[in-house]
Amino acid sequence: MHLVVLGLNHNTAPVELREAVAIFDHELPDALMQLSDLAFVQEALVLSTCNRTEIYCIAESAGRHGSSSESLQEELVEFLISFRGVCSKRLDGHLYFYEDREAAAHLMTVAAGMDSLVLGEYQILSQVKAAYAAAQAAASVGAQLNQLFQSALAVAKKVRTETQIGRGIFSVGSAAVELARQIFGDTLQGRAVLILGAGKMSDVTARHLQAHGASTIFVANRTYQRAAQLAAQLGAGAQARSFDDLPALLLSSDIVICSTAAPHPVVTRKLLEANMRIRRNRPLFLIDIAVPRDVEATAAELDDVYLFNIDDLRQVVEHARSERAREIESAQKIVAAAVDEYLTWRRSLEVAPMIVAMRKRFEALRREELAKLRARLPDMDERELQAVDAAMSAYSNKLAHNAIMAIKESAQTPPEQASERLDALRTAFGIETSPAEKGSGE
Amino acid sequence: MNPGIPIVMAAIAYLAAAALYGSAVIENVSDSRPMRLTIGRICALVGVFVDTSAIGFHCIATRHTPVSSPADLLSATGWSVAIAYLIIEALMNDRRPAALGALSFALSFLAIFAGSSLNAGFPRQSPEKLDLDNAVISLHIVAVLFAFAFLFLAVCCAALYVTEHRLLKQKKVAGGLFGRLPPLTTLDRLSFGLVSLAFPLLTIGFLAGAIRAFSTHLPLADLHTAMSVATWAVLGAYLAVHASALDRGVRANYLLLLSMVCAVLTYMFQNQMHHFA
Repeated sequence: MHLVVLGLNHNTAPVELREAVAIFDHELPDALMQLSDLAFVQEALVLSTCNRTEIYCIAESAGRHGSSSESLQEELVEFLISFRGVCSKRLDGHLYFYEDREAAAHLMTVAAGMDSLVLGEYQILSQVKAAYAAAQAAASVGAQLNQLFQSALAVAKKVRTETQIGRGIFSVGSAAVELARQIFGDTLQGRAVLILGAGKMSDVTARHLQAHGASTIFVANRTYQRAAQLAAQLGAGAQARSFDDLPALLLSSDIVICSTAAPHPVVTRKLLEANMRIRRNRPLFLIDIAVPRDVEATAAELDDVYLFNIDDLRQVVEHARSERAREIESAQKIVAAAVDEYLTWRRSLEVAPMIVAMRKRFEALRREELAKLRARLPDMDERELQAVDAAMSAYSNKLAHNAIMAIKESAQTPPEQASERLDALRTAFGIETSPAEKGSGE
Repeated sequence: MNPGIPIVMAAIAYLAAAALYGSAVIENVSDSRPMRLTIGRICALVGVFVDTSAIGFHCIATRHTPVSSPADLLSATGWSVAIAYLIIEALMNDRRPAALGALSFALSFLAIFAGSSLNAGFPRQSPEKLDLDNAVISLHIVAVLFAFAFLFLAVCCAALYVTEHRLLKQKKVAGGLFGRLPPLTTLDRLSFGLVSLAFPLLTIGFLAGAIRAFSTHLPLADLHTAMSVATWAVLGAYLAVHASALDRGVRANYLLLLSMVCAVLTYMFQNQMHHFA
């Protein structure tokens, strides 16, 4: 049996191609059914997100249907082309194909967020879980992919708990939240947020703050209608306000997100100076993500005013990313150990037919010898015959037990060594297994 | 057993607690792996237990108060700071202020270390004039000791506040100490709460001291008393501006740091009158 993965991701393909080959949730049952119908596929799973589309398969070993690595790859590419109707030339140079160890390591790396566009982001884990659930629902996964995906989910959890890779800041929005929490406390409950300029970035940042407890959100925009629209999108607690109310809004806000298209600062030092006196030096956190800037730069000199612009926030994000990158090595060690464990499990699975063959061989020998003995000693009564049979059974069981232990131990050794040892055992005990039963190793 | 041994043991326990709290701050582990903080707290509790026992045995054996010399005073201050921090930590339901813990226990260790390095300093009084049996003196000592302990904790909070404020102003928010300290508003609330405890205790201590001075016709005007009153005045000013919200945030915290200067001068200007055998 081969574990294979064919796919493309944000590192290998542009967004247009990723969009073209993406398999949406509602298409998954059909895709999985078609994959399962392929002659060489025994188990199949599709992982499709905005950053990647990957097909995981347990395929029959090389030789049986003439399915070498190349032909396996070709058949999976053909499936992708026919299912999505993509021109094959578009895929050239954008696909990757991994087998066995590399394939298992790849999935575990993906699940742990180490292959994500934003290193360590945790959304991928729920996407892997969803893909696994869809394949389970379509009954396209069996023992091998079940084990692999359960291992991958466990590895992802371990990587997140034992390393810092899943911690820290992932975006400008989360950088703003972290800074706000460092000023106002772990929860932003009861804090009021003012959005100046109803742009996309303000929307995203406000949502981050909202998710961390900010309960009141004022949206002020030159066009009141646009402010009302964004306030409606942000839901309960958000209210549209006139831009002319700015001084009053600044008084009642703790966090201000500025992203207007104004060519000059709309929040001046003078305005803030007066404001801070009235608000009695209650800290004010200003996030200026507008270009050109909305807040006069010298306002940062005022006590208890904390002003951060887009570059400051990006610097925070970049630092967090480099901190997480330091954790890669520890995460890779966890993945490598889990891959070894999975492959050992697979090898133990692959020697099962050999163990069955061994038992059959011993049983056949016992029956054969018993029949010969009966022919040679026809006067033997039933009681004596039963005693001889019991003695032969005990003897063959003991012999088989040692041989089975040797097979199992051989399966735990490195692939090349395992193959040699198993061949030696086959020869020694005169066991013959079909190529498929022999297993492909790695 | 040498009476100094338990004090050394307590100092080591405080140092271990400070190191564990400090390492938790540096590695930012307070959220996910509180084991280090738990061990740190156990060390601190052991330190307090040993310290309390040592002070108690000292008092019983010598019939002297725990502040009968500058060395004793520093040692008792270290003990009271550790107790004050443990009380605050027990009262805080949310994230533990590990950075404050690290500073507090380091302060406890330093106070005991400095105390043990000093000579006794003042001759002890004769046993027939025991201050230990005087309720007014006991009240004065306990109130002032814990007032200063809470003040030192508040000053630690103020120092952390000012540090974090400066990091924010200088935009040094990527890595380093930033993110490992408690949030600004938590520190502000905490220092206000601690001064709210310290100020009335100091007032009670002063009143008890004044009653004692009037009853024994001792002079009230000396540098030690003057600096104590200055500390009290600065704390009062801080509470007034903070409570009325005329000023808070970084400037209020600078005011608190000023009170530390007065408190240190109070400790420096020791005299015979303020050591109670």
